[in-house]
This record gives sequence, structure tokens and C-alpha cells, in this order.
Amino acid sequence: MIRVNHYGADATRSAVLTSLAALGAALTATGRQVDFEAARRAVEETFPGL
Amino acid sequence: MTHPFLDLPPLTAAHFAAIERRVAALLATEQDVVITQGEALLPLEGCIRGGARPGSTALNVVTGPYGQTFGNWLRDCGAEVVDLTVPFHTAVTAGQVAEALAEHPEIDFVSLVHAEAATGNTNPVAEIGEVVRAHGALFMLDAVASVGAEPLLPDAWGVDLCVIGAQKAMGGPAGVSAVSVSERAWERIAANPAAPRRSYLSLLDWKERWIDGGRTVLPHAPAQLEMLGLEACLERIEEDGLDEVMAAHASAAAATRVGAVALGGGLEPYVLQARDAAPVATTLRAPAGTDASALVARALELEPSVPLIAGGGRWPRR
Repeated sequence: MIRVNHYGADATRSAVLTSLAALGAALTATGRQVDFEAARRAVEETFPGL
Repeated sequence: MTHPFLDLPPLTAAHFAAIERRVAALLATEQDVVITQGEALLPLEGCIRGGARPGSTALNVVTGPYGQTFGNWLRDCGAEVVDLTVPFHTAVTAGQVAEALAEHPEIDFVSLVHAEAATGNTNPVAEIGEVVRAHGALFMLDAVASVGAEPLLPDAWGVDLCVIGAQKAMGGPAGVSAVSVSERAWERIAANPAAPRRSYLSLLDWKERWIDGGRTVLPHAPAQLEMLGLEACLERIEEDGLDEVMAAHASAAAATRVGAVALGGGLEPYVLQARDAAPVATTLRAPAGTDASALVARALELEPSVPLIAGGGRWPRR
């Protein structure tokens, strides 16, 4: 299980994007393919604020 | 040497009471609010040991690890315990609670966790509260992971004992917590000869020594730093607006779910239905064949500031 906390000041779009980017990089290091641009678009559509 | 944490002036009773009033406003409650000087497990255990006793029957709703802990405390108090356990990737329904209450009409205490940060699910407390109130049982809610992240209305929902902590959505210290206590909860605890008295777990001590005395003399020295931290949390929420704060949490959770799926690589939300997903934290299943702890450790090496944790358990989808 992986948990992304949205505690306090981490309830922001930038925290979500940074978390997914770090997870994506970690997954890439295991040889898995990820699409961070798709993730970024999905996040920005869902969480339009900053 | 000087330090901002050191040599603080005493936190007065009036200041303590003012922070309690702000907590009450956050919860939109007219019930008594007591700020407890420790992590939220302190008032949670105090509520259970005050409300449960030999001869009572408790419905303990288990939707994650804290529900399991409550069951252990309830049994330790000598209560008969009916566990209603649902898969941790779902939420319990009011219908399931109603069914359990109908099967066990002797139930006089219900314990429920609103949102479970560890498993990432949240339960429909408003609907469950209606069912519990109709049955007549005392209703205890662990709202540590929901306060500030999603609507929390103990009075409107018929919650008799509502416990919060500052360390999750409020972004504050873990060493302070609070509980709102209904009049009938006070009556129940006072009538319980096994309820803690002259104990750090005792809610009655706070009532007798603090509330009934007009909140003028604190029963012991307050935890200054934690109280100031809690006050800062309340100030921030008041300034930003509770609705805006909750909306940010809901958006962060929703965006994490869709973003993880779009990212690919085998990540998927642990909580199946978005409506059951807690706004305070989003849980993800690691791809098959990967170790979640190793994956998170690698992510934190790359970006140490990200709010990632490897989950506290390996709960299968049942």
C-alpha cells in the first residue's frame, strides 16, 4: 500500500503532481513505463486551482 | 541562548477556554468541548472506558485498523462486542449498521471511525447517525482523519462523543486532541462506576474540575506548544475558510486517484469507489511484483518533501 497524504498545506495541486512525479520516477527505475504528462493533464483537469 | 519554543509565558485558563470555543465553532457544536493533552488515542480510550462497562453491548464498526483497536478496548472494559467488519477498501453503509442493530437490540454503544487515513476510506456518518439515534445507542465517532477535510457535524448527526486531532487535515501537532461530549454521554459516563476517575483518561475529571467550575482553573499545566499549534491550525482554517479547506482536500484526493491511473505503471486506487475515498489521504495499490516500501523509499530519495508513506499493512481486497 502506498499512501499520498493531503494533510494541511499538502492539500494542493502541486503536492499531488510532485508526489505522482516521484512515484513515476520510482516506477521507471523498476523498469515500468509511466506517462507523467497524462497524469499531469488528469490532475489539472480534476484540480484546476493551484 | 534564546529559542522560539523556550521560555514561553504560561498559557492561561482563559486562553485555553478560548481555544476550546474555536474548536467548538469548527465542529458547529453546542456540546461541551474538552481539549485533551495528548494524541487522540487519549480521548478515544477515555470515551470507550467511560462509555463501556460490563453488561453493556457495543457495536464496533471496523473499516480499518483503528476499529480493530477500539474492539480491543471495548472487550477490555468487559463489554460484549459485536464487530461489524467490512472490507477496508469500501465503506460501511447505514443499512449494514441498521441490520446489526436489529439483530442485537441490546446494543447501547456504537463506535465508528469516520475516515481511516491508513486505508483511505470514509464512512457516511450522517446516514449512520440517523440509524444509531433511532436505536438509542450512544454514538462515538473517531473524526481525527476527517476534521478539516470533509464535513463533520456532530450535533446534526447525533454524535455523542466526537474525537478530533490536529495532526492530519489540520496540519498541526499530534500531541493535542479534543472531544465533544453530549449531555447524555456525560450522564452515561457519570453513571458508569468503571469509568476512569482521577486518571489521565478521565473525561469526568475535566467536567468536574474544569467545565463545572466555569473553565477558570485548569486541572494541570497545559501543553503550551501543542495548544499554540492547535490555535494556529484554527486560525489558518478560519482565515482560509472551512469550505475552501475541505474543497482543497477533496480536490487533492480526487486528482490523486485519476492522476495515478493516468500515470500507469500498475498503480491503482485501493479504495474502489471514489465516493468511499477519504479526502485526507489517498491509498494506492503498488503494482504486482513490486514492494510498496521500496517504491516509496526510492520516491523519497528522489523527492524528500513529498507526502508519501508506505502503508501500514497489507490488507487484501476481500
